Amino acid sequence: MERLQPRLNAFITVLSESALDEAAAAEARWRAGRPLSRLDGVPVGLKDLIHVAGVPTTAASTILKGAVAGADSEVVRRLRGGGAVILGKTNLHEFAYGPTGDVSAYGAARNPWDERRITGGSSSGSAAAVAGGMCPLALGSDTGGSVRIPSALCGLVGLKPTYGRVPCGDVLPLSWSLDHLGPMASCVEDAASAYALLAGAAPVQLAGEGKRDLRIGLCRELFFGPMEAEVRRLVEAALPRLGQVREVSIAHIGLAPYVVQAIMAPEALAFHRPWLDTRRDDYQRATFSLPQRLLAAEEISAVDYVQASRLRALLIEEMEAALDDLDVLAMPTVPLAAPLLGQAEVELDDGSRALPAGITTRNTAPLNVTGFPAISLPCGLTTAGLPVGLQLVARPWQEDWLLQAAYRCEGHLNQHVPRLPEL
Amino acid sequence: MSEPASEPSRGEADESNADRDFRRRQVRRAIQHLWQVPLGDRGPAMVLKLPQSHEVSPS
Repeated sequence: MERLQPRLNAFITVLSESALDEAAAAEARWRAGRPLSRLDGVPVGLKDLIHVAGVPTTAASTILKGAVAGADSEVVRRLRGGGAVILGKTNLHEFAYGPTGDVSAYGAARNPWDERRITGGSSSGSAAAVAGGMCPLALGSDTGGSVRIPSALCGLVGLKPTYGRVPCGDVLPLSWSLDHLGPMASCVEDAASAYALLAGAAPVQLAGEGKRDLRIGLCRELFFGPMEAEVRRLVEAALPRLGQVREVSIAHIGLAPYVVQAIMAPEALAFHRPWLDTRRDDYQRATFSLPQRLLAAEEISAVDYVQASRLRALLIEEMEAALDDLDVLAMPTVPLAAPLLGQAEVELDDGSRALPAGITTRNTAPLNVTGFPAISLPCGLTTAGLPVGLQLVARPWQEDWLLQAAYRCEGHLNQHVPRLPEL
Repeated sequence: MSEPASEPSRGEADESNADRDFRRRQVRRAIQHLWQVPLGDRGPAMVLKLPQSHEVSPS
Protein backbone atom coordinates (compact mmCIF):
# COMPACT_ATOMS: atom_id res chain seq x y z
CA MET A 1 0.00 0.00 0.00
CA GLU A 2 2.73 2.47 0.97
CA ARG A 3 4.68 1.66 -2.19
CA LEU A 4 1.82 1.70 -4.67
CA GLN A 5 -0.49 4.46 -3.46
CA PRO A 6 1.89 7.26 -4.51
CA ARG A 7 2.16 5.69 -7.97
CA LEU A 8 -1.46 4.73 -8.60
CA ASN A 9 -3.39 7.26 -6.47
CA ALA A 10 -6.06 4.61 -6.01
CA PHE A 11 -7.31 5.65 -2.57
CA ILE A 12 -8.68 8.91 -1.21
CA THR A 13 -8.90 7.61 2.36
CA VAL A 14 -7.05 4.60 3.79
CA LEU A 15 -8.51 3.16 7.00
CA SER A 16 -5.31 1.56 8.27
CA GLU A 17 -6.11 1.22 11.96
CA SER A 18 -9.67 -0.05 11.69
CA ALA A 19 -8.66 -2.38 8.84
CA LEU A 20 -5.97 -3.97 11.00
CA ASP A 21 -8.45 -4.40 13.85
CA GLU A 22 -10.99 -5.98 11.50
CA ALA A 23 -8.35 -8.26 10.02
CA ALA A 24 -7.31 -9.44 13.48
CA ALA A 25 -10.92 -10.25 14.35
CA ALA A 26 -11.29 -12.16 11.08
CA GLU A 27 -8.14 -14.12 11.77
CA ALA A 28 -9.50 -15.13 15.14
CA ARG A 29 -12.73 -16.35 13.52
CA TRP A 30 -10.84 -18.44 10.97
CA ARG A 31 -8.65 -19.91 13.71
CA ALA A 32 -11.79 -20.84 15.63
CA GLY A 33 -13.22 -22.45 12.52
CA ARG A 34 -16.09 -19.97 12.37
CA PRO A 35 -15.57 -17.61 9.42
CA LEU A 36 -18.57 -15.47 8.57
CA SER A 37 -18.26 -16.03 4.82
CA ARG A 38 -15.72 -16.74 2.11
CA LEU A 39 -14.84 -13.06 2.25
CA ASP A 40 -14.13 -13.02 5.98
CA GLY A 41 -10.89 -11.08 6.38
CA VAL A 42 -10.68 -10.04 2.71
CA PRO A 43 -9.70 -6.35 2.28
CA VAL A 44 -12.19 -4.39 0.17
CA GLY A 45 -11.90 -0.92 -1.35
CA LEU A 46 -15.09 1.15 -1.59
CA LYS A 47 -15.70 3.79 -4.22
CA ASP A 48 -15.85 7.05 -2.34
CA LEU A 49 -19.54 7.62 -2.83
CA ILE A 50 -20.43 4.66 -0.61
CA HIS A 51 -20.86 5.69 3.02
CA VAL A 52 -18.81 4.31 5.89
CA ALA A 53 -19.92 5.59 9.29
CA GLY A 54 -17.52 8.16 10.71
CA VAL A 55 -15.51 8.43 7.50
CA PRO A 56 -15.66 11.26 4.90
CA THR A 57 -17.52 10.59 1.67
CA THR A 58 -15.93 12.94 -0.85
CA ALA A 59 -17.22 11.82 -4.28
CA ALA A 60 -13.78 13.13 -5.36
CA SER A 61 -15.14 16.67 -5.15
CA THR A 62 -14.29 19.67 -3.00
CA ILE A 63 -18.05 20.24 -2.75
CA LEU A 64 -18.22 17.53 -0.07
CA LYS A 65 -15.06 18.48 1.78
CA GLY A 66 -15.59 17.85 5.48
CA ALA A 67 -18.75 15.78 5.03
CA VAL A 68 -18.57 12.72 7.28
CA ALA A 69 -21.04 9.86 6.87
CA GLY A 70 -23.32 9.18 9.81
CA ALA A 71 -24.01 5.55 8.95
CA ASP A 72 -22.81 2.72 6.75
CA SER A 73 -24.48 2.19 3.39
CA GLU A 74 -26.42 -1.07 3.19
CA VAL A 75 -23.72 -2.70 1.03
CA VAL A 76 -21.15 -1.89 3.71
CA ARG A 77 -23.37 -3.48 6.35
CA ARG A 78 -23.58 -6.58 4.19
CA LEU A 79 -19.80 -6.68 3.66
CA ARG A 80 -19.21 -6.32 7.38
CA GLY A 81 -21.75 -9.07 8.00
CA GLY A 82 -19.56 -11.36 5.89
CA GLY A 83 -16.42 -10.30 7.74
CA ALA A 84 -14.88 -8.27 4.92
CA VAL A 85 -12.23 -5.75 5.96
CA ILE A 86 -13.03 -2.20 4.87
CA LEU A 87 -9.64 -1.04 3.64
CA GLY A 88 -10.52 2.45 2.45
CA LYS A 89 -12.34 4.76 0.07
CA THR A 90 -11.22 4.73 -3.55
CA ASN A 91 -10.78 7.52 -6.04
CA LEU A 92 -13.35 8.22 -8.76
CA HIS A 93 -14.37 10.63 -11.48
CA GLU A 94 -15.96 13.58 -9.70
CA PHE A 95 -19.44 12.54 -8.54
CA ALA A 96 -19.12 9.47 -10.81
CA TYR A 97 -20.13 11.54 -13.83
CA GLY A 98 -17.44 10.61 -16.36
CA PRO A 99 -16.14 7.44 -18.02
CA THR A 100 -12.47 8.43 -18.16
CA GLY A 101 -11.93 8.59 -14.40
CA ASP A 102 -9.31 11.32 -14.60
CA VAL A 103 -11.24 14.29 -13.15
CA SER A 104 -10.91 14.23 -9.37
CA ALA A 105 -10.18 16.76 -6.65
CA TYR A 106 -7.58 14.25 -5.47
CA GLY A 107 -5.87 13.81 -8.83
CA ALA A 108 -6.30 11.08 -11.43
CA ALA A 109 -5.85 7.42 -10.55
CA ARG A 110 -3.27 5.67 -12.73
CA ASN A 111 -3.63 2.51 -14.78
CA PRO A 112 -1.35 -0.19 -13.28
CA TRP A 113 -0.72 -1.64 -16.74
CA ASP A 114 0.79 1.67 -17.87
CA GLU A 115 0.82 4.52 -15.40
CA ARG A 116 0.74 7.08 -18.20
CA ARG A 117 -2.77 5.95 -19.07
CA ILE A 118 -6.25 6.41 -17.65
CA THR A 119 -7.92 3.67 -15.69
CA GLY A 120 -11.30 4.44 -17.16
CA GLY A 121 -14.10 5.50 -14.89
CA SER A 122 -15.85 6.42 -13.09
CA SER A 123 -14.72 3.76 -10.56
CA SER A 124 -11.10 4.61 -11.33
CA GLY A 125 -9.52 4.06 -7.94
CA SER A 126 -11.32 0.78 -7.38
CA ALA A 127 -9.84 -0.53 -10.63
CA ALA A 128 -6.36 0.79 -9.88
CA ALA A 129 -6.44 -0.73 -6.39
CA VAL A 130 -7.41 -4.22 -7.56
CA ALA A 131 -5.28 -4.26 -10.72
CA GLY A 132 -2.36 -2.92 -8.70
CA GLY A 133 -2.72 -5.72 -6.16
CA MET A 134 -3.50 -3.34 -3.29
CA CYS A 135 -6.67 -5.28 -2.47
CA PRO A 136 -8.30 -8.29 -4.12
CA LEU A 137 -11.75 -6.76 -4.29
CA ALA A 138 -13.39 -3.37 -4.66
CA LEU A 139 -16.86 -1.97 -5.11
CA GLY A 140 -17.86 0.45 -7.81
CA SER A 141 -21.03 2.09 -8.97
CA ASP A 142 -22.19 1.73 -12.56
CA THR A 143 -24.59 4.24 -14.14
CA GLY A 144 -23.35 4.08 -17.72
CA GLY A 145 -20.57 1.52 -17.35
CA SER A 146 -18.53 2.75 -14.40
CA VAL A 147 -17.78 -0.72 -13.03
CA ARG A 148 -17.28 -2.44 -16.39
CA ILE A 149 -15.27 0.27 -18.19
CA PRO A 150 -12.40 0.54 -15.69
CA SER A 151 -12.52 -3.23 -15.26
CA ALA A 152 -11.99 -3.66 -18.99
CA LEU A 153 -9.25 -1.05 -19.23
CA CYS A 154 -7.42 -2.45 -16.19
CA GLY A 155 -7.78 -6.17 -17.01
CA LEU A 156 -10.31 -7.03 -14.29
CA VAL A 157 -13.64 -8.77 -13.93
CA GLY A 158 -16.44 -6.28 -13.23
CA LEU A 159 -20.06 -7.22 -12.64
CA LYS A 160 -23.10 -4.99 -12.98
CA PRO A 161 -25.98 -7.02 -11.54
CA THR A 162 -29.60 -6.59 -12.57
CA TYR A 163 -31.04 -3.18 -11.65
CA GLY A 164 -32.25 -3.37 -8.06
CA ARG A 165 -30.43 -6.60 -7.18
CA VAL A 166 -27.86 -4.84 -4.98
CA PRO A 167 -29.29 -1.94 -2.94
CA CYS A 168 -27.81 1.46 -3.75
CA GLY A 169 -30.52 3.75 -2.44
CA ASP A 170 -28.32 5.09 0.34
CA VAL A 171 -25.24 5.69 -1.79
CA LEU A 172 -24.56 9.14 -3.31
CA PRO A 173 -26.57 9.04 -6.54
CA LEU A 174 -25.71 10.00 -10.07
CA SER A 175 -28.95 8.94 -11.76
CA TRP A 176 -31.41 7.00 -9.62
CA SER A 177 -33.01 4.96 -12.36
CA LEU A 178 -29.67 3.96 -13.93
CA ASP A 179 -27.46 3.50 -10.84
CA HIS A 180 -26.14 0.05 -9.96
CA LEU A 181 -23.45 -1.22 -7.57
CA GLY A 182 -21.15 -4.10 -8.35
CA PRO A 183 -17.87 -5.84 -7.51
CA MET A 184 -14.52 -5.57 -9.28
CA ALA A 185 -12.02 -8.40 -8.89
CA SER A 186 -9.15 -10.12 -10.62
CA CYS A 187 -11.16 -13.25 -11.44
CA VAL A 188 -14.74 -14.44 -11.85
CA GLU A 189 -14.60 -16.55 -8.70
CA ASP A 190 -13.83 -13.53 -6.49
CA ALA A 191 -16.47 -11.42 -8.24
CA ALA A 192 -19.02 -14.20 -7.67
CA SER A 193 -18.21 -14.43 -3.96
CA ALA A 194 -18.63 -10.69 -3.58
CA TYR A 195 -21.84 -10.67 -5.60
CA ALA A 196 -23.43 -13.32 -3.39
CA LEU A 197 -22.64 -11.35 -0.26
CA LEU A 198 -23.77 -8.02 -1.70
CA ALA A 199 -27.02 -9.41 -3.10
CA GLY A 200 -27.80 -11.53 -0.06
CA ALA A 201 -27.86 -14.52 -2.40
CA ALA A 202 -26.68 -18.10 -2.02
CA PRO A 203 -23.08 -18.80 -3.09
CA VAL A 204 -22.83 -19.18 -6.87
CA GLN A 205 -21.92 -22.67 -8.07
CA LEU A 206 -19.60 -21.64 -10.89
CA ALA A 207 -18.96 -25.10 -12.27
CA GLY A 208 -22.57 -26.14 -11.87
CA GLU A 209 -23.73 -26.10 -15.49
CA GLY A 210 -23.34 -28.84 -18.07
CA LYS A 211 -20.77 -28.93 -20.83
CA ARG A 212 -23.12 -27.88 -23.64
CA ASP A 213 -21.65 -25.10 -25.80
CA LEU A 214 -22.61 -21.60 -24.81
CA ARG A 215 -25.10 -20.05 -27.22
CA ILE A 216 -23.73 -16.57 -27.82
CA GLY A 217 -25.59 -13.76 -29.53
CA LEU A 218 -23.65 -11.18 -31.50
CA CYS A 219 -25.52 -7.94 -32.18
CA ARG A 220 -23.64 -5.88 -34.73
CA GLU A 221 -25.92 -2.87 -34.38
CA LEU A 222 -24.18 -0.35 -32.12
CA PHE A 223 -22.01 -2.87 -30.22
CA PHE A 224 -19.74 -3.73 -33.17
CA GLY A 225 -19.65 -0.26 -34.66
CA PRO A 226 -16.32 1.54 -35.15
CA MET A 227 -13.71 0.60 -32.57
CA GLU A 228 -9.95 0.34 -32.26
CA ALA A 229 -8.68 -2.31 -34.65
CA GLU A 230 -6.95 -4.34 -31.97
CA VAL A 231 -10.09 -4.49 -29.83
CA ARG A 232 -12.06 -5.93 -32.73
CA ARG A 233 -9.28 -8.40 -33.56
CA LEU A 234 -9.12 -9.74 -30.01
CA VAL A 235 -12.87 -9.95 -29.43
CA GLU A 236 -13.74 -11.50 -32.81
CA ALA A 237 -10.93 -14.03 -32.40
CA ALA A 238 -12.15 -14.94 -28.93
CA LEU A 239 -15.86 -15.46 -29.59
CA PRO A 240 -15.71 -18.67 -31.67
CA ARG A 241 -13.57 -20.25 -28.94
CA LEU A 242 -16.28 -19.62 -26.37
CA GLY A 243 -19.30 -21.29 -27.92
CA GLN A 244 -21.76 -21.21 -30.81
CA VAL A 245 -22.06 -17.68 -32.11
CA ARG A 246 -25.24 -16.46 -33.79
CA GLU A 247 -26.00 -13.00 -35.09
CA VAL A 248 -29.05 -11.30 -33.60
CA SER A 249 -30.76 -7.97 -34.09
CA ILE A 250 -31.94 -5.39 -31.57
CA ALA A 251 -33.69 -3.01 -33.92
CA HIS A 252 -33.60 0.18 -31.88
CA ILE A 253 -30.45 -0.35 -29.81
CA GLY A 254 -28.85 2.54 -31.71
CA LEU A 255 -31.14 4.86 -29.78
CA ALA A 256 -29.78 3.74 -26.41
CA PRO A 257 -27.14 6.51 -26.17
CA TYR A 258 -29.83 9.16 -26.62
CA VAL A 259 -32.10 7.46 -24.09
CA VAL A 260 -29.22 7.45 -21.61
CA GLN A 261 -28.60 11.12 -22.17
CA ALA A 262 -32.26 12.06 -21.79
CA ILE A 263 -32.56 10.16 -18.49
CA MET A 264 -29.17 10.49 -16.84
CA ALA A 265 -28.58 14.19 -17.36
CA PRO A 266 -31.91 15.45 -15.95
CA GLU A 267 -31.73 13.07 -12.97
CA ALA A 268 -28.18 14.20 -12.23
CA LEU A 269 -29.15 17.84 -12.68
CA ALA A 270 -32.01 17.42 -10.21
CA PHE A 271 -29.56 16.19 -7.58
CA HIS A 272 -26.89 18.82 -8.29
CA ARG A 273 -29.18 21.80 -8.90
CA PRO A 274 -28.74 23.36 -5.42
CA TRP A 275 -24.96 23.14 -5.67
CA LEU A 276 -24.96 24.52 -9.20
CA ASP A 277 -26.80 27.56 -7.90
CA THR A 278 -24.47 28.23 -4.99
CA ARG A 279 -21.14 26.44 -5.44
CA ARG A 280 -20.58 26.15 -9.18
CA ASP A 281 -16.93 27.16 -8.98
CA ASP A 282 -16.18 24.40 -6.48
CA TYR A 283 -16.55 21.69 -9.12
CA GLN A 284 -13.36 20.55 -10.84
CA ARG A 285 -12.32 22.50 -13.91
CA ALA A 286 -12.04 20.23 -16.94
CA THR A 287 -12.60 20.24 -20.68
CA PHE A 288 -16.09 18.92 -20.08
CA SER A 289 -16.72 20.02 -16.53
CA LEU A 290 -19.62 18.76 -14.52
CA PRO A 291 -21.44 22.12 -14.45
CA GLN A 292 -21.19 22.45 -18.22
CA ARG A 293 -22.61 19.00 -18.78
CA LEU A 294 -25.29 19.31 -16.14
CA LEU A 295 -26.57 22.68 -17.26
CA ALA A 296 -26.87 21.49 -20.85
CA ALA A 297 -29.52 19.11 -19.50
CA GLU A 298 -31.82 22.11 -19.13
CA GLU A 299 -32.51 21.58 -22.83
CA ILE A 300 -34.17 18.24 -22.05
CA SER A 301 -37.83 18.71 -21.28
CA ALA A 302 -40.11 16.63 -19.10
CA VAL A 303 -41.78 15.23 -22.18
CA ASP A 304 -38.36 14.23 -23.60
CA TYR A 305 -37.68 12.38 -20.35
CA VAL A 306 -40.98 10.52 -20.58
CA GLN A 307 -40.34 9.68 -24.23
CA ALA A 308 -36.94 8.26 -23.28
CA SER A 309 -38.63 6.17 -20.60
CA ARG A 310 -41.05 4.82 -23.21
CA LEU A 311 -38.13 3.91 -25.47
CA ARG A 312 -36.56 2.24 -22.48
CA ALA A 313 -39.55 -0.10 -22.32
CA LEU A 314 -39.14 -0.87 -26.03
CA LEU A 315 -35.43 -1.63 -25.62
CA ILE A 316 -36.12 -3.98 -22.69
CA GLU A 317 -38.62 -5.86 -24.85
CA GLU A 318 -36.25 -6.05 -27.82
CA MET A 319 -33.28 -7.16 -25.73
CA GLU A 320 -35.37 -9.85 -24.07
CA ALA A 321 -36.40 -11.10 -27.52
CA ALA A 322 -32.80 -11.07 -28.72
CA LEU A 323 -31.82 -13.36 -25.83
CA ASP A 324 -34.51 -15.88 -26.74
CA ASP A 325 -32.78 -19.25 -27.33
CA LEU A 326 -29.44 -17.71 -26.33
CA ASP A 327 -27.39 -17.91 -23.17
CA VAL A 328 -25.67 -14.54 -23.44
CA LEU A 329 -25.02 -11.61 -25.71
CA ALA A 330 -21.32 -10.80 -26.21
CA MET A 331 -19.52 -7.67 -27.36
CA PRO A 332 -16.42 -5.62 -26.55
CA THR A 333 -16.92 -3.90 -23.20
CA VAL A 334 -15.20 -0.74 -24.43
CA PRO A 335 -14.38 0.05 -28.08
CA LEU A 336 -10.84 1.05 -27.12
CA ALA A 337 -7.92 0.17 -24.86
CA ALA A 338 -6.81 2.66 -22.21
CA PRO A 339 -5.82 6.02 -23.77
CA LEU A 340 -3.05 8.18 -22.39
CA LEU A 341 -3.99 10.69 -19.71
CA GLY A 342 -5.03 13.82 -21.54
CA GLN A 343 -5.24 12.10 -24.94
CA ALA A 344 -7.72 14.10 -26.98
CA GLU A 345 -8.73 11.54 -29.59
CA VAL A 346 -8.48 7.88 -30.52
CA GLU A 347 -8.40 6.42 -34.04
CA LEU A 348 -11.07 3.87 -34.89
CA ASP A 349 -11.00 1.14 -37.52
CA ASP A 350 -13.28 2.96 -39.94
CA GLY A 351 -10.75 5.78 -40.16
CA SER A 352 -12.73 8.11 -37.93
CA ARG A 353 -11.49 9.71 -34.75
CA ALA A 354 -13.42 9.91 -31.51
CA LEU A 355 -13.19 11.57 -28.13
CA PRO A 356 -12.39 8.90 -25.53
CA ALA A 357 -15.09 10.29 -23.23
CA GLY A 358 -17.59 10.22 -26.08
CA ILE A 359 -17.24 6.61 -27.18
CA THR A 360 -16.25 4.82 -23.98
CA THR A 361 -19.79 4.15 -22.73
CA ARG A 362 -21.26 3.12 -26.09
CA ASN A 363 -21.42 -0.61 -25.31
CA THR A 364 -22.04 -0.43 -21.58
CA ALA A 365 -24.72 2.23 -21.09
CA PRO A 366 -27.43 0.30 -23.02
CA LEU A 367 -27.36 -2.26 -20.21
CA ASN A 368 -28.02 0.48 -17.67
CA VAL A 369 -31.01 1.53 -19.77
CA THR A 370 -32.46 -1.98 -19.78
CA GLY A 371 -31.14 -3.01 -16.37
CA PHE A 372 -29.97 -6.39 -17.69
CA PRO A 373 -27.00 -7.94 -15.84
CA ALA A 374 -23.63 -7.62 -17.57
CA ILE A 375 -20.09 -8.62 -16.79
CA SER A 376 -16.74 -7.60 -18.24
CA LEU A 377 -13.85 -10.03 -18.26
CA PRO A 378 -10.38 -9.78 -19.78
CA CYS A 379 -10.07 -11.22 -23.27
CA GLY A 380 -6.43 -10.48 -24.11
CA LEU A 381 -3.77 -7.83 -24.39
CA THR A 382 -3.06 -5.48 -27.27
CA THR A 383 0.42 -5.44 -28.83
CA ALA A 384 1.12 -2.52 -26.49
CA GLY A 385 0.31 -4.77 -23.54
CA LEU A 386 -3.02 -3.14 -22.66
CA PRO A 387 -6.04 -5.18 -21.52
CA VAL A 388 -9.19 -5.50 -23.62
CA GLY A 389 -12.51 -6.49 -22.08
CA LEU A 390 -15.27 -8.78 -23.31
CA GLN A 391 -18.79 -8.03 -22.08
CA LEU A 392 -21.40 -10.74 -21.56
CA VAL A 393 -25.09 -9.93 -21.01
CA ALA A 394 -27.81 -12.20 -19.62
CA ARG A 395 -31.53 -11.93 -18.90
CA PRO A 396 -32.70 -10.03 -15.81
CA TRP A 397 -32.08 -11.80 -12.50
CA GLN A 398 -29.85 -14.43 -14.17
CA GLU A 399 -26.62 -13.41 -12.43
CA ASP A 400 -25.79 -16.99 -11.45
CA TRP A 401 -25.97 -18.09 -15.03
CA LEU A 402 -24.03 -15.03 -16.20
CA LEU A 403 -21.24 -15.75 -13.72
CA GLN A 404 -21.16 -19.41 -14.72
CA ALA A 405 -20.86 -18.41 -18.38
CA ALA A 406 -18.13 -15.90 -17.54
CA TYR A 407 -16.28 -18.55 -15.54
CA ARG A 408 -16.28 -20.88 -18.54
CA CYS A 409 -15.11 -18.10 -20.84
CA GLU A 410 -12.40 -17.08 -18.42
CA GLY A 411 -10.93 -20.55 -18.65
CA HIS A 412 -10.67 -20.23 -22.43
CA LEU A 413 -9.43 -16.65 -22.55
CA ASN A 414 -6.88 -16.20 -19.82
CA GLN A 415 -4.58 -19.13 -20.30
CA HIS A 416 -1.75 -16.99 -21.67
CA VAL A 417 -2.52 -13.64 -20.08
CA PRO A 418 -1.24 -12.59 -16.64
CA ARG A 419 -4.07 -11.73 -14.26
CA LEU A 420 -2.37 -8.62 -12.94
CA PRO A 421 0.54 -6.51 -14.19
CA GLU A 422 4.00 -6.70 -12.67
CA LEU A 423 4.56 -3.69 -10.43
CA MET B 1 -24.69 14.12 4.27
CA SER B 2 -25.97 13.75 0.77
CA GLU B 3 -27.93 16.96 1.08
CA PRO B 4 -26.40 19.77 -0.94
CA ALA B 5 -24.74 22.36 1.21
CA SER B 6 -25.84 25.96 1.10
CA GLU B 7 -23.08 28.52 0.61
CA PRO B 8 -22.83 31.84 -1.19
CA SER B 9 -22.06 31.75 -4.90
CA ARG B 10 -18.45 32.29 -5.83
CA GLY B 11 -19.05 33.15 -9.45
CA GLU B 12 -20.16 31.68 -12.74
CA ALA B 13 -18.66 28.81 -14.70
CA ASP B 14 -15.88 29.74 -17.10
CA GLU B 15 -17.67 28.46 -20.19
CA SER B 16 -18.19 31.10 -22.86
CA ASN B 17 -21.65 31.89 -24.18
CA ALA B 18 -20.68 30.44 -27.56
CA ASP B 19 -19.50 27.19 -26.00
CA ARG B 20 -22.63 26.98 -23.91
CA ASP B 21 -24.87 27.56 -26.91
CA PHE B 22 -22.96 24.95 -28.92
CA ARG B 23 -23.35 22.39 -26.14
CA ARG B 24 -27.05 23.08 -25.81
CA ARG B 25 -27.54 22.72 -29.57
CA GLN B 26 -25.75 19.37 -29.39
CA VAL B 27 -28.15 18.19 -26.71
CA ARG B 28 -31.18 19.35 -28.68
CA ARG B 29 -29.94 17.50 -31.78
CA ALA B 30 -29.42 14.33 -29.77
CA ILE B 31 -32.83 14.51 -28.16
CA GLN B 32 -34.54 14.77 -31.55
CA HIS B 33 -33.59 11.12 -32.12
CA LEU B 34 -36.00 10.12 -29.36
CA TRP B 35 -38.92 11.23 -31.48
CA GLN B 36 -38.18 9.23 -34.63
CA VAL B 37 -39.81 5.99 -33.47
CA PRO B 38 -43.60 5.65 -33.34
CA LEU B 39 -44.45 4.14 -29.95
CA GLY B 40 -48.24 4.01 -30.17
CA ASP B 41 -49.74 3.69 -26.73
CA ARG B 42 -46.64 2.15 -25.17
CA GLY B 43 -46.07 3.45 -21.66
CA PRO B 44 -42.79 4.26 -19.99
CA ALA B 45 -40.57 1.84 -18.09
CA MET B 46 -41.22 3.04 -14.60
CA VAL B 47 -39.06 2.49 -11.58
CA LEU B 48 -41.37 1.73 -8.70
CA LYS B 49 -40.23 1.18 -5.15
CA LEU B 50 -42.97 -0.90 -3.64
CA PRO B 51 -43.18 -1.60 0.07
CA GLN B 52 -41.99 -5.03 1.19
CA SER B 53 -45.19 -5.76 3.06
CA HIS B 54 -48.49 -6.25 1.26
CA GLU B 55 -50.55 -6.30 4.44
CA VAL B 56 -53.56 -4.06 4.35
CA SER B 57 -54.81 -2.42 7.52
CA PRO B 58 -58.54 -2.83 8.16
CA SER B 59 -60.38 0.37 7.44
